[in-house]
Amino acid sequence: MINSTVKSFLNVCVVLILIIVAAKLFLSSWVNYQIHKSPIEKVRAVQQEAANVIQNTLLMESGEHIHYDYLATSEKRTKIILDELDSPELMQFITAVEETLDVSSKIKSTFAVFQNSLFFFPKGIALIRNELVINKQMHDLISKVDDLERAVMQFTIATVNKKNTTELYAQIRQLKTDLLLLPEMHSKAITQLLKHTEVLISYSMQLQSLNTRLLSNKINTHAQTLIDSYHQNEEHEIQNAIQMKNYFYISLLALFLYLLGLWWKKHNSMVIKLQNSAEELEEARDVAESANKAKSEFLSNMSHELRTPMNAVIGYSEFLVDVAKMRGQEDMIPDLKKIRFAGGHLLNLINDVLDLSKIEADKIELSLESTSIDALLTDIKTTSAPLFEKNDNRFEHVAVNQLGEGFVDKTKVNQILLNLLSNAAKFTQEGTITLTSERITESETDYFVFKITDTGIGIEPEKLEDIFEPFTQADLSITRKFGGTGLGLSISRKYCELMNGELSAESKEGEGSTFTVKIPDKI
Amino acid sequence: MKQFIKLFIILLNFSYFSCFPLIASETLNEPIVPIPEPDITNPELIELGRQLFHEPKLSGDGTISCASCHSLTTGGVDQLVVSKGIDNQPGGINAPTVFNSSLNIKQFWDGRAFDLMEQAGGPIQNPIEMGSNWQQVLKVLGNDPAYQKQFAKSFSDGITSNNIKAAIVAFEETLLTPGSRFDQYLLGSKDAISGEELAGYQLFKQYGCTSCHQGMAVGGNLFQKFGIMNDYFADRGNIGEADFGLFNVTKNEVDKYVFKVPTLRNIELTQPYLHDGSSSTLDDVVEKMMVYQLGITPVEKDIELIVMFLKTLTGTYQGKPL
Repeated sequence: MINSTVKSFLNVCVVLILIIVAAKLFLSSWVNYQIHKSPIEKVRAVQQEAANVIQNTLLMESGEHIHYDYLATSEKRTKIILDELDSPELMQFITAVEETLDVSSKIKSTFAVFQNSLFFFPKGIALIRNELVINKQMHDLISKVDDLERAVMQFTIATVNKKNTTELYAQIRQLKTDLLLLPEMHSKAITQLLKHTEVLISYSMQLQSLNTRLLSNKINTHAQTLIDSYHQNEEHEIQNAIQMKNYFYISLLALFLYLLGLWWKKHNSMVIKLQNSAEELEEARDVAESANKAKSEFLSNMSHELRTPMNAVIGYSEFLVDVAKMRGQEDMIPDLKKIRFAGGHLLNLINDVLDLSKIEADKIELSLESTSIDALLTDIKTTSAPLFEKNDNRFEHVAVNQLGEGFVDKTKVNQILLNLLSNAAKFTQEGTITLTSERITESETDYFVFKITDTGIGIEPEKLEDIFEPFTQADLSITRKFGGTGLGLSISRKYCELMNGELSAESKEGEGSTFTVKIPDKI
Repeated sequence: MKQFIKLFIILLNFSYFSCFPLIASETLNEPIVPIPEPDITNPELIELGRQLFHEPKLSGDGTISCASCHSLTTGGVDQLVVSKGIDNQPGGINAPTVFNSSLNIKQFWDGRAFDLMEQAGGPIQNPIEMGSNWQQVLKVLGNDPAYQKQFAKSFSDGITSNNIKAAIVAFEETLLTPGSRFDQYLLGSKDAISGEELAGYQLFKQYGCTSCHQGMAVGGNLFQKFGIMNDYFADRGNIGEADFGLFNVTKNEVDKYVFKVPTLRNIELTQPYLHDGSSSTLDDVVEKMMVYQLGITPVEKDIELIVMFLKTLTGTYQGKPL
């Protein structure tokens, strides 16, 4: 019992483990496959937005009207995707993008100022030139302003090198000194122009370096590295996923096989059990059949082999009694009568044993017929009359009501009642034997109830049920004292039961017994 | 299967190499663009945000709400030089308007908040502004059955600091001011502004103001140094931490005195001007811009015209003029 519990527990464990392994493998194969899809898309999206920002920044610098809002939206979108891409392997890429965005926003601010100064510069130059021309004082200054204008334009438009810058600064310094000679109102205009010139030079240089930084960004390099590694990873993951999936199928197969094995084992043991029990049943049937056959053979042998000689013994002993009387050999008669009595007793015994055997072998068949029970009782009374004379007993019949017709086995009822009456007569000395007959109705069925009451020796209460067992009498001495086979009561009870009736007894030792027969009016 | 995956990867590569077409650029004929109508997709959340925006319980002593310094009836500002926090504590900087704030590239004068979501928590926890903390705010709002109900409607996880911010942001994003006279002009109603106002706009462009003040918000999408042509802070004196601007965020010397270019929308209502609130009139602030940002000699007549133009930028909120 414990063994089987442990076994089934182990089975459940194994099945559970297999299921968990299968589920884990399935999940890992699926999840790993999904993980690496989104970073690539995001890296690409960032790359595209950054390219957008760079392109628009450069377009803006080349004079296109690029909306800051438009650039700002691109920047914001990039930042939002970057925030989602927070992983150490992306650091270089993220730094490159963030620097690019920073440079682009600096270019915007720088270019705004540069543009304004660039716009103001010719106006400032024209203003100063105008005033110088009007005053006709500083002709050499005019040429210097011309030089400045040319230099600044070259500086801002053409590629700058360091020599140009130095020359330009020298010119501006020279102009500053010369300006001290001018009247106050003019010097204010000059100061303004020089400020714008300085802004143009410094902001233009800033823009140059910013542009260099913008264009030398490593976004694409880092992105390509990332994407390559992702692709490698992806392929690796896909391989892994396939492998995991294979393992998953294998584990599923294992689970299935295990379950199949369990089922097969259970199925097999059941088949074997069934086969075994079928064989046992067959054997039992064979045994029972052979036993029954032997019993049937024994019974038929008994009928022929025992009854025939007994009939001969009884017949010839009676014949011999007559012969002895005729020949006057009176002294032989008692011995012959003894043989006759013993023969009769033996025949009775044989008949009883045969009857009991037949009942036990279910060979008894009831011959049911419609019978007047009252008439049957009259016959029984007549037949039993000599029994009561033997021990000087008195017989009384109390008929509570008319019994009427019944659909019963007449012979069996006759046999039961005679048996009981003979028993009563046998165990009663100078007493009264009362037969009470009654027809009653119990739960829609009519019963005939016969009570045979005697005033005889009675039966001990603990032996009351034993007397219905074959070959049992209340006391072993009884057989010697009263004779009888000890089969009558058991046969009578069996007959009652055959007719769906019952035979019961109650008794008080020394005061007498009552046997009650209850038989339904029809079976 | 393997071949299929390889093909898939090849296709991915292909799409990768072809993802750099010439990106269409948005060009504009005018540097200023009209403001669109606000997008109201989630009225329940916006209503919750509106209530939270006006909710003094968000402050430490229950006296100050977002609307205390960003009143929707006075141009989205408090019209003070610097705002007053709890216990009448003066703030460090002039309150920028909440109107059209969602159009800004970053939030705060120094751009320390990436977006409104990041900004919304700032003043609540600033000891000299609303002087509270999330623990207290969550407790106070959590005790209010009406808020519990409203939060449950919009969020699966009820009242959290993120959800409070999200609701406020959802409301702030609706605080756009379309329908100004200048926008009407941009949209084709040539009579919406007068000849003088149009002349002011022409000057605004000619002086180079639109180099920085452009786009939907007429500003807000660029950082710029204050005092390019002349040193504003030397002239003003008394330099404080608030004057360092972007430097406070990046700690980068070149970012000193760099600020987010403020929006000029509804500028008529948001006096005093500049981050230090030092200009109380538009004439004064335009003059300062000419001196310190453009490096030119101010011309009174031009200033007058530009101010006339600036006043056409006042829009409407919920269909009513601000």
